[in-house]
Amino acid sequence: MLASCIMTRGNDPFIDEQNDPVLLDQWHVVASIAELRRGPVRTILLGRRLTVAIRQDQPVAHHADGAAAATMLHLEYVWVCLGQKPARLFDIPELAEPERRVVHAGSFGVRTSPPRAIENFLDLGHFPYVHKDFLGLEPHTEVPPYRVSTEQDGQELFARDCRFFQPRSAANASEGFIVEYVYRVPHPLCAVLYKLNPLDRDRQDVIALFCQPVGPEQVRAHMLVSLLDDTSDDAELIGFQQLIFAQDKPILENQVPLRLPLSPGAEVPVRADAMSVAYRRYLAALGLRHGVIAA
Amino acid sequence: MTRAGWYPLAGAGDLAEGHIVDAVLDGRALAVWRGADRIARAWENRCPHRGVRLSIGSVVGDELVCRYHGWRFAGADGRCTRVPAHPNSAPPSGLRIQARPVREAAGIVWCDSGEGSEFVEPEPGIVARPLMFAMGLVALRGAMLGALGGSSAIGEAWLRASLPHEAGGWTVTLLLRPAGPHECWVHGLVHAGAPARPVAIARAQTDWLAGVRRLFENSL
Repeated sequence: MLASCIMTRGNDPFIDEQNDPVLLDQWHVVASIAELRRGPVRTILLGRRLTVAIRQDQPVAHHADGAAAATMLHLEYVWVCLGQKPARLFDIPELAEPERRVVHAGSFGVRTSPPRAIENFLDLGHFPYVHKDFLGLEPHTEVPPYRVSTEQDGQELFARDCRFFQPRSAANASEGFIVEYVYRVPHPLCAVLYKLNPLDRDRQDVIALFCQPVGPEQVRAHMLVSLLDDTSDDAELIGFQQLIFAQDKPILENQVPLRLPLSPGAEVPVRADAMSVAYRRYLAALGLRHGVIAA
Repeated sequence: MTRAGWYPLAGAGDLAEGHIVDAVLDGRALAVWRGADRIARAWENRCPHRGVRLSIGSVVGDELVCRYHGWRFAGADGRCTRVPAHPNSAPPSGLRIQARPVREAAGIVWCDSGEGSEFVEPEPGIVARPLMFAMGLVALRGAMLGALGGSSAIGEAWLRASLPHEAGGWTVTLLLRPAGPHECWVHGLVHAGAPARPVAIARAQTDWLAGVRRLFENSL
């Protein structure tokens, strides 16, 4: 059934990647609840056309031939699994803390591979160049050493003790300071960032990026923000995240190749790229084929 | 692959100091740029760090700066001179951008698609804006020779033709650059002496060439 739903135009060179067993058995975001409130959403997941809706508070998703796909409501989104053995879906327990606002900040189409989009989200060194005056500013360009670890039997990847000077780290930041970050990769195409709140520096803002693999070189990136911010309204929070993402998009669409190369010699990392190196190894260890160039 | 030789990448006047343009020659993507030393260069259009096209970067002095992480590469030899994430460490040794042979002549920046090809300088003229044709070099050359009355070939990649009488009737040299198997860029030199308004003549050439392209596209 699944194979018949894949869009094929002649001999689709992506067909193996669209049937990557690693991703078929994962849950993937296909639409935000906010988007579905406005009506059904037609989208593409791993090359398959889906129609997604919420009916009587239950998420439903259908293939082009009418067959139903497995769905789940989780963290402001509808998730779909196309495989027979759905993987456990991760949680972000911090979002349940009181006083938190959890806002869907947008779904962005980007012409790149899903892993390139995640790797960019895990990157500190680009802040003074791509997000100048917001997340970074010369001469504060140094990326100090941070700790990388795999946890949960290799299912999750962490970078801890990340520090970086940010002139305007969030919509409600009034001055620059050294922001402390923790990055978490609990899913091959999802990443969560915990960062110190600019006003209450004992608490953490949470920003998550969920990449919907449309195809090996096309992604819909869904961004969730949960901030301890009672001064900015939702439009300001969303506007800030969209501004940042709009700065990343032209970079992502100008990487050659668009697929992430997993071979250690394909690109030249430095110490600041320890998380990128670890993420590529993590994907290689999972056996991911979609959107990557295997080692 | 077409025959190795010198092909036009850009008008020299379009490549001002501090500018970068991208051009593809025989499937090879190039960042064509000019630093403060006024030298035009054609580099592999890819930062070795994360693969970002260098043509979306910037020029600082005689160096090209990658837009993603600010890595800097020296114009003189393509070596990486600065990795801002580690300002107190030496950049990875041996890291350098591959440069292609470049020369400037007749108001055009040229690149050798091979090594040590013989350079033949065309008759000077007013440099017109290049246009892309969705055809390979051999097919486009043949189509032009067939469609443009009075045209003649000069070697494998150049043609001599004439603008229509109402566009001044000037003689033009068309210089074809193969970008890929089905893509060619056509640069033009209009032989109109030293007119008062060269821009108007260049524009007349562009309008005529765009008309030729429309003709070819409609007959596909």
